[in-house]
Amino acid sequence: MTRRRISNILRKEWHVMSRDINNALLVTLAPLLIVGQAILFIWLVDRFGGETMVANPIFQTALEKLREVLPLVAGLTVGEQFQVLLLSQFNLYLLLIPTMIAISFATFSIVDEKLSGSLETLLVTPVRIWELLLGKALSEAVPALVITWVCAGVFILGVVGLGWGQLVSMVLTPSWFIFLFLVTLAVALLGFMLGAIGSSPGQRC
Amino acid sequence: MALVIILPVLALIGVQVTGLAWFTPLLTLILALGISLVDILVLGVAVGLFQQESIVVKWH
Repeated sequence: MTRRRISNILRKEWHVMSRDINNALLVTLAPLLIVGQAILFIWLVDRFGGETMVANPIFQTALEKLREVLPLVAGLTVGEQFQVLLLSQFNLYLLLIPTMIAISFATFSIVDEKLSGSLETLLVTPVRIWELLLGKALSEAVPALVITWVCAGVFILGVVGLGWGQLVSMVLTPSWFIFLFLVTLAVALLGFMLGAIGSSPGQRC
Repeated sequence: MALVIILPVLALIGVQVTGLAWFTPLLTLILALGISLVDILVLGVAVGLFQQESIVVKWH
């Protein structure tokens, strides 16, 4: 019964989402801008500031750590090692995408329910509150996950396009995939819950 | 609310890019597990807040 209720909430939320052009734009364009910004930043650092930054003691410590964790990079030049260091940060940077999508959807979803008066109706139906919140959270977590995976793919294509294709195998470590599949999902759910908390108590529309 | 997630994410980037720590598969799994536990706690808090709202609605 619980699964059926949650899947009903999922279907209802996706139906509402699909009718809103602002949501569609937020989900598709904003994450791609984040990816573009990351690629541009890494390219600019590599093009104009790489040598200066590599000489910095902080980054030398980071490169030592990188060589310790990924012994394969020892065969690369220091400049390439620095590129691997920068590119390896992208899996963390990707977490901003599910966060952004989750919090926006949470706010939209709860506030829209309040404005239309359907929240009161929902709260007096047999659906339990945790089922309602979990259903809503999953309804945004699925698109957030898919978009994050697409963005990861676009990033890899961008890296290959910039001529750093030989470094990709050193960036795509098991940690990268754990971030992409597990941490992203956990962060998307957390973002929704926090967004729901932020838009629920004492903020009567 | 966004800052509650964004600032720790930026801190993690800072920690890794400066070499203070590196997210090995084990550390990443622990991170995922930790965030999942926080998810459950925050779900509990959210349910509590919504139940308060539900009471208010019923009183209306």
